[in-house]
Amino acid sequence: MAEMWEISEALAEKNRFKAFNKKHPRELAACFSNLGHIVELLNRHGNVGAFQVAFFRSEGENVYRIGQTGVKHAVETRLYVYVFTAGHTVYVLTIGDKTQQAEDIRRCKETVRKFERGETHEQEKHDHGHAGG
Amino acid sequence: MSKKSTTTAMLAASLTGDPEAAARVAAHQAETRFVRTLIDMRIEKKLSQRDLAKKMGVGPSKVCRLEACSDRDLNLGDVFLYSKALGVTMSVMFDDPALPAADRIKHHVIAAHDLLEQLRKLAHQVGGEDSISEKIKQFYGEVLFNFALRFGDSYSKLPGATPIRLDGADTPVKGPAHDKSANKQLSAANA
Repeated sequence: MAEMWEISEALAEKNRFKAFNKKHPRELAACFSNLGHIVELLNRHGNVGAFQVAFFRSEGENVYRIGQTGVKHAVETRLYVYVFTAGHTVYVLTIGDKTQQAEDIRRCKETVRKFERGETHEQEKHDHGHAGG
Repeated sequence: MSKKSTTTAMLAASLTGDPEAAARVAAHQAETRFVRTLIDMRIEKKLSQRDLAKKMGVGPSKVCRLEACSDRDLNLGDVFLYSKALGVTMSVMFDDPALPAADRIKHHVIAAHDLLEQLRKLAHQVGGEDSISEKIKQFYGEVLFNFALRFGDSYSKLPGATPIRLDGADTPVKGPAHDKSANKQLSAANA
């Protein structure tokens, strides 16, 4: 049986999620719901190349954005994730709207580069230690 | 070592510090269940949105919009076109929970009988010696066994009922989702 994909918050910018949720809770919920769908598709099809969904787009360097769907008069929202294929894990990175996307993508790629160089272990331990459920 | 959340609803609540975020994610999942099924079927058929749009005779943006709406905003005509382009037949079943259970059971039995009749017609079309016909006969046996097993289980739990035991009831039975050959034949019958 194929290994199941998991979702991790170890690389997430938690303050951004808190702030965004206060302003746009419906959009945030829609993005997380769509993230669930993406993980289901990964479990079924194995890799991101095996399916094409409009709300899931590559931003390069294994950073993907997940958009909101099914929300009327929504603010264009992007939930950024890092798809770590070797570890069968989707790392949630940050969330933002369209106006901030260039800066968000730059920061996400920087986080992923650090992760791939093994420089984020301390951050992961820190997050794990303060998870609290 | 990294912290891994089990569901996206829990993850949303954890990252925002807002327990209500989990309920909103779950609500969105419930409100887009049908649309997700459509997307999943398109991907199973290995079709891009562009491929499907071509089959539907519409622009790709139409498919994109359809897949981005919630279930309540779907247009029945569009869903019909979408499923037809996928080569999938659509059947709508209205199930009124206010009706007595007996009426609802009758409704399901009639629907199951209609599907079995389609298979029977297919078996006649291909002739008695064909392997498809053999598989259909085998499938009829499985349906009967599965029904009898579940009927017996429910009946045995009725007050004062004598338990029904089927010989070989421990034998694993194929569920409909695992019986792809029968599903394919049913699809062929529908085509």
